[in-house]
Amino acid sequence: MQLGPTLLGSYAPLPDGYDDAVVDERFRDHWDHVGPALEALGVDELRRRQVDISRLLEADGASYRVASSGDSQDWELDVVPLLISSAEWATIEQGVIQRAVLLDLVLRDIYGGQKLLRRGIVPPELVFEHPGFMRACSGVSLHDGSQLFTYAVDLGRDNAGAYRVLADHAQSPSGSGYALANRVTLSRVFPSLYRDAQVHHVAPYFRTLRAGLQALAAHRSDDPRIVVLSPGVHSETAFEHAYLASYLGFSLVEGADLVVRNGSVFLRALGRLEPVDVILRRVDADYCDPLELRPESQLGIPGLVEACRRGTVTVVNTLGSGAIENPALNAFLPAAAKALLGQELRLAGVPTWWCGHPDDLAYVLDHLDEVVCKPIARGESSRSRFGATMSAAELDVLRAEIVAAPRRWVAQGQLSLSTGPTLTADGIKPRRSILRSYAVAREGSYSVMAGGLTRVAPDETTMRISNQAGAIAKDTWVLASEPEPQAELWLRSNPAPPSDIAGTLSERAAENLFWVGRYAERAESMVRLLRAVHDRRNAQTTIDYGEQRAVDTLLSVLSVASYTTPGFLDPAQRVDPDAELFSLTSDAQRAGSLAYSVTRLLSAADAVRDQLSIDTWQVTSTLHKQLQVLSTTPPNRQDVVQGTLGVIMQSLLALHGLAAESMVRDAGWHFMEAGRRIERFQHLGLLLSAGLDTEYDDRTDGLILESVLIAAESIITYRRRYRYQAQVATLLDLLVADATNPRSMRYQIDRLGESVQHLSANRNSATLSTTERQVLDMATDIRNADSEALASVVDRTAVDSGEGQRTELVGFLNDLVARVTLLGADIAERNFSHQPPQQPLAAAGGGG
Amino acid sequence: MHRYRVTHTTTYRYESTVSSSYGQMVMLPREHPHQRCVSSSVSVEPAPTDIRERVDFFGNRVSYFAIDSGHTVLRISAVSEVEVDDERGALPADDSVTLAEAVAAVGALDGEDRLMAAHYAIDSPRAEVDRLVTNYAATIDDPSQPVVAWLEGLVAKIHGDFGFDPKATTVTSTVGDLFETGAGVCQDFAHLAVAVARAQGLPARYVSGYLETIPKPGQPKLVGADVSHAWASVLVPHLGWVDIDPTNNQFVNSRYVTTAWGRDYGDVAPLKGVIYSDGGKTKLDVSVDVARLN
Repeated sequence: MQLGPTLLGSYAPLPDGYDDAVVDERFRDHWDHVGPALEALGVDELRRRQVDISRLLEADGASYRVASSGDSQDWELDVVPLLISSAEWATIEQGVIQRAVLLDLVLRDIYGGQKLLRRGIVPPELVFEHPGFMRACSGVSLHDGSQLFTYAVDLGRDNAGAYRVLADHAQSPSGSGYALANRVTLSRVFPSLYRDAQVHHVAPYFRTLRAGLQALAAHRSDDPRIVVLSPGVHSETAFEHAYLASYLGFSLVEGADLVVRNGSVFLRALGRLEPVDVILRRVDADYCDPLELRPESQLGIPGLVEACRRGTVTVVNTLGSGAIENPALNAFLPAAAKALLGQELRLAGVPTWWCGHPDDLAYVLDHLDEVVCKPIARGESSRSRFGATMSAAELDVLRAEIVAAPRRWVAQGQLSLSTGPTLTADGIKPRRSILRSYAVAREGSYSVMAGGLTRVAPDETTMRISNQAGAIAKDTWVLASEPEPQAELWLRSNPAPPSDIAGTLSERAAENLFWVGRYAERAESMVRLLRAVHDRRNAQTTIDYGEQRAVDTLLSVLSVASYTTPGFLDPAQRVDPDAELFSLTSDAQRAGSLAYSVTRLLSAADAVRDQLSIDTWQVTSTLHKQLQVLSTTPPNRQDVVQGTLGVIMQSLLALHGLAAESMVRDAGWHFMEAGRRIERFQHLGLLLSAGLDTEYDDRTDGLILESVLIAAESIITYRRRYRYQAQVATLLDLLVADATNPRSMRYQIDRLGESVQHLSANRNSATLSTTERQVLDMATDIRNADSEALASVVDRTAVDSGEGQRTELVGFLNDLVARVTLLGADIAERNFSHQPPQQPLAAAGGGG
Repeated sequence: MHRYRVTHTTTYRYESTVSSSYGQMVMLPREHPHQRCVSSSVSVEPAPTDIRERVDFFGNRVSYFAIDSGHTVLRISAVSEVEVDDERGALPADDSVTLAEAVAAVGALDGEDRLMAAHYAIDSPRAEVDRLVTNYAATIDDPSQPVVAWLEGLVAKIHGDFGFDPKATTVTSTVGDLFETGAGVCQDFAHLAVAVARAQGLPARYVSGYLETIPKPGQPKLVGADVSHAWASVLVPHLGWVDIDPTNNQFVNSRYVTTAWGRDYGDVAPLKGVIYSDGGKTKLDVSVDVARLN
């Protein structure tokens, strides 16, 4: 197929390089469908779809955290996929399987009989010097004696187009979740092209992974509890951890959620400990156990290594797996393959020299300006040094570093890497790429993901390709020789009964859901109040006593209900309220502000991402964006602020809708619900007590009551029900006592009662819990309250202007608010047992 | 033969309650050709919910324990009886193998011997062979000297160059820290000896244990006033592992009880652990008694 003029006509692969798609100005054979199809779309259309891709990824919250800055950057995916022909794939697949099998045997050997080391096939110093070699984990293996469960390998092409191994990943290989996200996204942007191109699915890999994890504990349990251990929301790949956990249906946990008791690992579930059988770890091994490994680690579980040793839990990848991430090992793998498998390596590595060997060291020092040097250990200073691009002075520094600790250095030949068509600002251009391929153990061998994570250099010259260095991704399309049947994650031959194990909620997750409920409601109330203030001020035409009092009252309510008093309680603040209003809207550092509540809502939601649906992620993603808008909008742009408030309100309502319609009524939902009800009850109480504490003339009272009803989202109902001017007694009927109004205090306490009852029932207690009794008492007090009486008791002694104080009402409401506040604290205290901080045992020094 | 009873008790008194504790101790003596362990036991108070002994990567006896209930006092005690042969530390009188020959012999090791040597030939975190160590090693570098004399020179030099000062360093100190402070304790001197031997090309390990102290003439021996001790052990192929004590400027003899060895202190810390506590002060008491039984 000749290149057409529209798209690739101007596409020129780099001279002397191998291009994945184009040769001699023609598409390669396996591009004969996709190439022309993309060509037919044209660059403008591809750009449009590129925008769709960004939008979809952003909506999913796909991001990657840059370690150096801590900032989260959006995951970027190129619109043009990388295509691999079925024949090429067969070579890669066989090569990856062989390498995984070999590396598993190497791991078994170095943690077991050490024959390779004893026979000098692999120099022992090379293994012992590497920090991935975990002496504490010697003798720990999977139940079948194997070591390597998942494996990833970075592949690049040489000038002739042959795939070569660049790096091995076994610590806790990352990126498979991003590969999945890439596929989901690109197949949505090119639905028919994807279907017609006969692309292998990636889902079977995850099915194998899931089955493999279950099989790991088959000797212990028919229905093992499997968890994904993450370093938490601040990890580089936090998005992926949550994405994988929810896709696979396992609980996402952090170190503090787990505890070792009697040599076994348990999940801190609500009010009890639940045994854990398998841990898919995304925490580096040396951070996994502060007792035996890094004492300062707060990400691990003390006693985990001991539990592994006893075989009561299976951690994958095994804690010692990082030993094969040693790049110097590459130099000795051909010999190891011969010794262990009696085979030649199917996938060659790049030429590798280990500086711990005198001959290799001499060669490297002689050819420093040609090779790529790096320390064998991964870490802060482990970046590759490209000799060809270094100055004489830089080379001298490097030489000195290597000579000082030669065993810790490795040099490799530089691979040219193939290029592929990539959409750039200048049109479709050749960009170098590397492919990370994933394998998972399966019945004594390995199963390879038909696809993988392709990453592309950001520009033409860059040789270093990593996410930390700004690489973008490509979806990897492995073409099938014939159409592939649909494969879903859940298809299984013999249906098993549903398991409630996967649904076990950790205390941490429950607590975060509770706060999701509270902050979501707090933010919503705040938006309503801010809007009521805004509207009332806008309606103010002339200086008018009644309108001014109404505005002042609303401003005071705002300070009281957001717990930011004195604020507008100070009359001086009400003279020019703009600065304080802006602060209560946009200052994310200020407790009580809208921005603060939304920030806390998002961080609580982030911590339980695996519990929330993908749709929910889209809502939180919108909220993230709105927060950014708020933080960058100056006070004088009220139009932008009001628009943002509108979008935030829509998102909060969507969140509420998803909670109501898309979540099962399990403990997690009830915590979220309880949080929401407590917060709304509290808010209503404060709104009414601060809003109605003073009786003015009829007109002023009318304006205030109207605003209160608006802020309480009940104005329509009120107008329909009471066709005369608003009165305090009827307003109390609707907002306090009415059991059918979802915006009344009575309604909140009834719902809270149901959730509290559900959560108590979980604890198998026959008698009413203290919390249940407290809720019941409050409900009774509300039912027995007399709206007429509360509204009519007015104390006119304090002021002389004709104003009166509704002391009875204020006392009644403030008492309820205080009780529900205590109730919230009580629920937290009873259900979320906070561990005291983890500390190292003081070391006893003073040896002679 | 020397027979000893070693009692090593560590007591933590916490100001605020510790809700749970996890610990690992390396306090029970291992055996070696000149040492036998007659009896040994550990006790932990409060009673641990889980306690288990195992043998670690280096062949040391390691105990794991976990306490699940709140406590304000943690007491860990190890008592053992050992026999040490009189010949412990005896070297051939007129040994003429030179340092260069010993280093060459290490290079010629193969199979099992090479593997064993490799564990202790490479750098370890607390005893890095950096420029300071290399320079220090160079000051006593005389390849033609008999290796035993070189070892004597090494312990004498460290003993002479550095002062003994328990306040100068901590249990986490490295060889680099010792060069900075100019003073330290047995642990630091052992680390330096280990690093210098490795810099020279001889594998070396860090040994933890005890030394029987002899009271000053006319004074009674005080029970519990002894301390844990540490020294270095250097692989000299024709002699085997030679234990040297730079702190006391001598070779190790039958008055030394060996507990464990590793690449450096990090592999054999007598006691380490993780506790869950809201903080507050901790009072720590260590009592060691090395009693001669015969």
